[in-house]
Amino acid sequence: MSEKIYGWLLGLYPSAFRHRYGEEVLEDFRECMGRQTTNIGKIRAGVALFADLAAGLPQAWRNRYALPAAATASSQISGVPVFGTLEEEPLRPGSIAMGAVSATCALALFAFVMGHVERRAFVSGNQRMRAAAAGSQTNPGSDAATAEADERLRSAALLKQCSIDKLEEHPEEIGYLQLSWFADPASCTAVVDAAMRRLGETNAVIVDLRETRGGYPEMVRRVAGWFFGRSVTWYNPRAASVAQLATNPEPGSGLVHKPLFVLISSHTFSGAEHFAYNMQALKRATLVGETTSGASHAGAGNLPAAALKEPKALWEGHGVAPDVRVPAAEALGRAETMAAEAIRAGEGQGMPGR
Amino acid sequence: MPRRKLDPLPAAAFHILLALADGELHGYAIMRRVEEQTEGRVRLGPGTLYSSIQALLEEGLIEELEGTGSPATTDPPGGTGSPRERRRRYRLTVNGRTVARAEAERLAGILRIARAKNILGGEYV
Repeated sequence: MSEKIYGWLLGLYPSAFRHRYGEEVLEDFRECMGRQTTNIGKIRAGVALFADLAAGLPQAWRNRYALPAAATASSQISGVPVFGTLEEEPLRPGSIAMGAVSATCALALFAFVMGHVERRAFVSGNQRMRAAAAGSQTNPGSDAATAEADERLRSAALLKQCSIDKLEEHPEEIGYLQLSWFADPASCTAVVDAAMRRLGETNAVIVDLRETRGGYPEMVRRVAGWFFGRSVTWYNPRAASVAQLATNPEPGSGLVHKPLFVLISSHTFSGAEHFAYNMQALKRATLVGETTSGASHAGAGNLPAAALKEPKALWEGHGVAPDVRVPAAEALGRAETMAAEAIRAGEGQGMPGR
Repeated sequence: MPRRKLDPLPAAAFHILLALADGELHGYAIMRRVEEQTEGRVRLGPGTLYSSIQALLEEGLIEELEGTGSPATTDPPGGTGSPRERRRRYRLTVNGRTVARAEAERLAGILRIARAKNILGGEYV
């Protein structure tokens, strides 16, 4: 039995080696095994012999097996190219079947890996973001060796540059976006759009504005556009033109009908209040947390007050009141519970994109 | 000329050269001889043995005896004692002896260093 396997493994050696030494190798194998009287001895010797067979392989393939430089140059016919081959034996049908099987296996493995990668892309993307959020404190030299790590660091830096502190997927496939600032649309549109597209693959979205100091009104309007299937009136005290008083729907946005929860606190300022206020007024989002600071910074815009279609309740001096009032520290937990309920209640389909 | 294949000399090849220093042997006898002369610490299996033999042949450090590898060759002196047929036998060439000597001197040099650093005690010669 073991000799049969040994002989089969000997097939890994070059055919010239097998022609020359095959018989002796097998004979020596038999001899070595025959010398052992006990079963344990046989097993030990067998293991050593198999290990030795593997160890001799590189040397066997390095050898030339052409001692007196004969035979090789003889058969060239003029004009017909000669190809060097490792194996001069003809292919057996078994070899072809074996080749077919291993090729199929390799292909299946490749397909499986690709499919897996595709499915994991979003999750690993989020892990990347999370790693990115922690990345500034960890040692950057430790895992920068791989290209994957480079990519991670780069996207982390990009997100950081655009004031996206966290982009994560929480349990129940709830997308979580934490902003510290609505970044300059001139440099961050592509990054923010990518983040929004990624959020679109989740079942519900939590936008965390508890520590958001404000930002560019145009970015606020752009982010809002992702949550509506059509253009909606957008109150903006600092609008520079009438065009800025309505959102622009994003074609192909996956966020239009997703339950949306916006976390606010007494540290939510200006542009962030502006976002929360409009989303609440449009009944698109549920605000969770504390009443905001109440700093609209109005009056900097160029449009006459009438054009703004000023709503009844401005937040200046009062702040935006939450729909669900909880201490800021508990807002995320509460929003996650509500989002999970919303997902279970199937609101994912019913939510109109007002 | 390309770099020599057996430079540095692998341990298996050195042991084969040493085994052949006393006289000609066939493959299996080399295995046994190596095992004996190292008191069982080094065991060559057929895989490393014959691939090393082939490399040594190609480098001209050992040579195959004329008339071996054909039927009815008797057991060489110092062999296993059973009559063996169609066994090729090998012997050291002049070149092989030189290489073995060079390798032994190299190791002796290392040994001197070890001794000078007091890594080896007095019980080793």
